[in-house]
Amino acid sequence: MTTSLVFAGLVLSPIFGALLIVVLALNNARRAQILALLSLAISLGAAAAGIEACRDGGVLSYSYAGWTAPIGIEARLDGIAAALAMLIAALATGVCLYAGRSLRAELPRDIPAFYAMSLLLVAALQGMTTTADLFNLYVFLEISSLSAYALIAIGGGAASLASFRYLLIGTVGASFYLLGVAFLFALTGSLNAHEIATILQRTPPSAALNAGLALLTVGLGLKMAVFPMHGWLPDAYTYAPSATSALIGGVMTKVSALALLRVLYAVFAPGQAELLPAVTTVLGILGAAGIVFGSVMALAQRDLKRLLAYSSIAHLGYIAVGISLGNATALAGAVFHMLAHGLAKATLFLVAGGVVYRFGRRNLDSLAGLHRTMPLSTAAFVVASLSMIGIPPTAGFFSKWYLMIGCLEAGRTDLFVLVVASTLLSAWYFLRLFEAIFFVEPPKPRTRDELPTAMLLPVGAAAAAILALGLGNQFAIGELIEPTPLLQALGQLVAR
Amino acid sequence: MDIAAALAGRFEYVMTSALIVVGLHGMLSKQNLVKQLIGLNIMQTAIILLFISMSVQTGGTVPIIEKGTANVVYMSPLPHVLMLTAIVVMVATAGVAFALLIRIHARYGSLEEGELLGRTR
Repeated sequence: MTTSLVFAGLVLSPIFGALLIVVLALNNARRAQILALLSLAISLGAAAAGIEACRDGGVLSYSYAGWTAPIGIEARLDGIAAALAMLIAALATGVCLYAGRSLRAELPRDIPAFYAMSLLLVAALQGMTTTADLFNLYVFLEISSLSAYALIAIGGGAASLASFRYLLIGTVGASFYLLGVAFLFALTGSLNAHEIATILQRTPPSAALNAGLALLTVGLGLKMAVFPMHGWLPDAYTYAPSATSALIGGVMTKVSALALLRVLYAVFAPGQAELLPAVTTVLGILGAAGIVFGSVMALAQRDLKRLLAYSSIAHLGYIAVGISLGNATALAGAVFHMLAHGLAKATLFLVAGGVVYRFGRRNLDSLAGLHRTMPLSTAAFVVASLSMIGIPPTAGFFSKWYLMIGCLEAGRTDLFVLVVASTLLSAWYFLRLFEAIFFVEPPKPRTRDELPTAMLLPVGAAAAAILALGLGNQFAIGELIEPTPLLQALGQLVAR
Repeated sequence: MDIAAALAGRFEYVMTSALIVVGLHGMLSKQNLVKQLIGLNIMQTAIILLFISMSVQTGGTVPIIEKGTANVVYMSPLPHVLMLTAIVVMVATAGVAFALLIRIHARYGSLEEGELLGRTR
């Protein structure tokens, strides 16, 4: 009973919320926002119940419509999925609260549609984190992508073009994923991830198995924006409305990263795919290249949102490196980095949205004297930046810590050096931002003009969550992430 | 010669591979956004054909079990059902894409990639 309620709250509540908005509130932004917050509150409660149920290695499993796997579709929640589900629900709640004022300043119309699309996106992302069925994952992947295209295109003008590019590349990624599923289905006759893993253990290595693995990795890599498959990301994040950037930049790529992690280590690792070591090696190299490329490109940007977008590419590189190493410590680091980066990047985009809201511009010059205009938002911005650089006690420090230990455990001193050195790179471009805020004199004196409460509250809560996640890393990693069966199968964590 | 021998009797794989390549080529080489979208659709269709070709059994029939029939070979219904969903996804994607194209055309008056790059910068 509780199990079905958790999944209903996570996936169904936002879907019904979206439908209700379309039926009841398509011309009333206020009502749409209230409906969105109500259904997200249910989602939040379900995520909290999921975390409680998944502590110490618990797993919730539910068969849709009573048809048990492998015939039916199985929904499955483990500690990692519960943590990500909480991140998605919490960030979406914050963004929907924030969006009321921010969208009114940025969009001429279509504001109720924003809430409906956000809820659809949340439902699809929750579906992706909780499903154990590979084809079901494809459907949720496409639902999340379609709502993301719409959320980006709401920005109008250049956003439409960015969204169309994203649509082309994203659909190619999803098509590759589907093609990979076709190979796996042809080999095993099943779509359930756990049953496929069992069957693959006695399937001899073959070209078809390798092709399936390669296609799934490329497909999910495109959705996750691993370098050099990141081309769609900077424009999409830059031209989208600020609330969209925060929501999509915070959670969307992470969910694809989680799907990739599952495909590599829950489906293929127990089997005999000869290509798996090569795939993880290439993923590691691309991740490392992405860290350097994203950081260097971020250094060259004058547009605040574009800078944050390139920094996202760098941080997805960290996650890719963690996934490529494949030991329990590195994977725990990768998952924790999804949470840490999701929170920090959402905070930064929310503050960037606040800058757009107040000054109507988003280049670095408009940041001058921000600490006098919006002291509290600036404080949140600094906390999130410190987490992005990796300064204790913020969450970003602990994720990098686990990633570095994971590098050493795998004997990859080169990646260890890279992760340490790249911290200096990200420190460099965030210190540039601090310089633009604190040390550049604004052209005319700034008076205190803090963001309205509805926008400030999510910003402050997200910054507090970064600190809480950092201080509570023992709970998140020790009780939630590490005991999941997926990581237990890979061995003990070294760093604790 | 080996390749030809390996491909003989695997017509459906040759066909879907060719269609995927055609689709990707269209997406990469065409300047017009509508043509790129057509390339995408060709690629998606190829994957649907691949799934459907998997379900085929020689001499197979519609998978409805009737009383009094034995030793009947059935087609696998599962790929058909999956592809029904995939077709819906494909149509929805095309719908969103066309909506975006209409907006782009209304804003910039063109759907040629080169011209659009000049106008957005």
